[in-house]
Amino acid sequence: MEITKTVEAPIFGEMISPANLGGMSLSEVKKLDLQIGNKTYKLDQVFSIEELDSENKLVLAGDLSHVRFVGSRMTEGNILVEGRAGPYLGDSMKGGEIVVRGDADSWLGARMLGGAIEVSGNAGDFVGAAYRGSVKGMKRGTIKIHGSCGSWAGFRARGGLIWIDGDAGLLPGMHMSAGEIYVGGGCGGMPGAEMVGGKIAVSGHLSGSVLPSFSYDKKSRPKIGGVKLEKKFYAFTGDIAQGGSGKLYIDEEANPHLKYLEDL
Amino acid sequence: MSILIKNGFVYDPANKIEGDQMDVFIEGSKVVESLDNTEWVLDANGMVVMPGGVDIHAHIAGSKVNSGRAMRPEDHQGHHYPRTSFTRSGTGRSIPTTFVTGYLFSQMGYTTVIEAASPPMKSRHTHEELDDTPMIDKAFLALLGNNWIVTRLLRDGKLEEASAFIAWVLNAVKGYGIKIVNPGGLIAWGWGRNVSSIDDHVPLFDITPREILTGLLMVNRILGMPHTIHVHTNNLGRPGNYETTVDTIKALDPYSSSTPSIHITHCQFNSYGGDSWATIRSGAEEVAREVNSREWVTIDMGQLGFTATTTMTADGPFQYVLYELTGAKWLNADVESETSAGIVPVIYRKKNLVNAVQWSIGLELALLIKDPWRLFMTTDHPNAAPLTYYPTVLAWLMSKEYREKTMSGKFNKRAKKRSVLPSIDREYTLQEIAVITRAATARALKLMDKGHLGVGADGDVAVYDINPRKTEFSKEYELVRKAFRRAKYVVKGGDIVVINGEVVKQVYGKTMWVNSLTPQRKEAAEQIVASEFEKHYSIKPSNYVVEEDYLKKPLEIRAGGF
Repeated sequence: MEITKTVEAPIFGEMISPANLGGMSLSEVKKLDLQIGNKTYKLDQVFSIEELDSENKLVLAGDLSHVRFVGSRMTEGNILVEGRAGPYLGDSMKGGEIVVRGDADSWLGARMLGGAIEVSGNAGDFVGAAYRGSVKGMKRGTIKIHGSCGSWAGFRARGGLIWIDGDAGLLPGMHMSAGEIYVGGGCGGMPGAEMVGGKIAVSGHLSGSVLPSFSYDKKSRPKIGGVKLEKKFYAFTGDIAQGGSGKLYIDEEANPHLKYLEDL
Repeated sequence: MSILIKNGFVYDPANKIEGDQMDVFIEGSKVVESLDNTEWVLDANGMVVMPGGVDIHAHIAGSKVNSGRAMRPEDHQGHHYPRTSFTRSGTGRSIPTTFVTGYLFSQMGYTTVIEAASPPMKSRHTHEELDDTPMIDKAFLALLGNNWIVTRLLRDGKLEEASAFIAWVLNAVKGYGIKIVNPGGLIAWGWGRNVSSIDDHVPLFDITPREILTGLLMVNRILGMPHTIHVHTNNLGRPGNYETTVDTIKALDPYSSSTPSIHITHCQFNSYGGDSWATIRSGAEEVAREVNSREWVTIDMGQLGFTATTTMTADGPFQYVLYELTGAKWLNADVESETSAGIVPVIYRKKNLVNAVQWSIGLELALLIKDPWRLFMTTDHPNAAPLTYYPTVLAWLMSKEYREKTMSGKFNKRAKKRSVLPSIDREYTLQEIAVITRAATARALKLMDKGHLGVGADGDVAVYDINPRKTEFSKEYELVRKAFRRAKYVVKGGDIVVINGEVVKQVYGKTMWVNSLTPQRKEAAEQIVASEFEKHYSIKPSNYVVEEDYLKKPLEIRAGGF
């Protein structure tokens, strides 16, 4: 299905998931209610739906940057977004797979409980994070971003894997208690602030230094997402201010400004 | 509007009517003897008709409730109430917004709710929120058990002056009664300390909780307040605290009378036995024995529900303990020279020993106290469970089978041996339910026109879709829950406000307050205010006063001496 309507108001697309649409006929799907801002539309007023793909696969095309909560709580099946995805994609998803051929917005895979998300472009802030006020971040599953992501990736994560090929913004892995985050590029600063468990590896340049509440252990080659990394990393434990025992790895080569650690 | 509620099974314990099939007539805002012509006929055939519910203890308005809302955005998530043609929108589960709070109470057939604790200094905020809460009549109890000026006057034995000052405060802030939270303990909390028994010394004030309690009991009598002192005891929420509760009751023995003298609130939280969290057991039997033997003591349950909720109380030191236990977020506040307050979110779990024992204690208290007129159903909303748990609590009281079902599965096995609940067979009758949810609470608050359906009573009626002649409550507890969750019809002040569990009209109830400030007391109080107030407060007395025209629909109730 392809989005045909351009709107500025948010579109609430909670029911757009393969499990929800799978059991319905084409005409039933077209008549589903869709909330846009404070008005209710029918699904076929917003999307052109020619046919439903096989039962467990859903292809969305066009600029979906206003469509929120696609694949929310999905348990199985596949969603392919050909274009730009909106915020809260894969919110609380339990299983299945979401692939985005384009950019994703903020809160990608927030409070995720299982399944996999792959984004070929960039993602916004709060990837796999807990919602405001809640302590329940991502618990299981994997999120793979081939581009870069914004700040607070893996905020309060309780498990799972976030793999970012590009750069990460500020505070990746803030307050995380378990799980793994790999940042292939640079990091905006303060990785792992308040973390109590889990692993974070930054393979590019880190702006500023590691937080003073992390203690330097030694150099090592960490294993993230089952892969033993090739390069050598400075390994830290923290955040001691929270009594934490999380592991933080910062690449040696890309961070000559951390060389002073070797003399301590 | 004239309304005929036809052919229902009427449960009106105050007028000794138990399930008789009869009609109820409402003209204007009052119940009347009969009607000549009726505009509206509500067919209650095969249904239960009761007076509108009266909740004696809930936290629904004021600065701490609002701080709780701000502090817990996750409590709003997934709990949205969209606007309808009759109602406004809102959010929230354990601390709903003011509008949703009003609607939820009304949908359950409640028409009067007492906000249980508001610092006098914050009462302007409390009134603003109460004015915003639709569908119910309301009032608030003012926190006076740790007020520095009151405490100093009591220490010096100046009961008359203390009475005059309290009358002035209640008049100034438009409060309904005297609430005492952890007497002396909150003063101590200002220095990071607490008191551990009713004979403990309150630092820097040379007084004990016992003296504060007895002093305020006398003040309450001198002023002739409609409600008794409303006490949240010392040591609340600590293992072994049933002794403190028993001590508190015994401390008032020398002042006993034939009329109610003390209300001990959310008694579940202060009836713990054992001496640590690992050895916690129920102390409900001991507390119930003391309450049963004294006709001047009333209590409410504070029944716990297995759910995520938000605790909010003026008991700052206890909230600190809870924060240390749970590691959850914590808000601590100090209201200058009046009280403290704290907020901590909690999750009560069946498999947790302490939570399971807590759950048992509330029900044990309700089932062991023989006189339903001295026990009231509350969940201390939202501390032990949100208000949406009221129907579940009623179903637990009415069905042993339902209690046993709750005690199976994940329910902590050790907890079952720490209370006598599994051996109690008592099941509440519908009449007793009507007593503990409306008749007795209205009587305890001396709301003469509420809690009954006699001629002249307020036109507050709830009709529940359950047939008492055909339903076996002990087995069909799900029907009980369903019926009490969504009333069939609710009439509030002569307006039909709920039909089939949905709000069909938004009305605003009155804010009741008690005036006991006689001219003599006014003179005495003004002298105290002139000499003491600015020593202790950062604001001027004129800013402390909430004028009556600031309230949307005030209802002044004059107490003894006028």
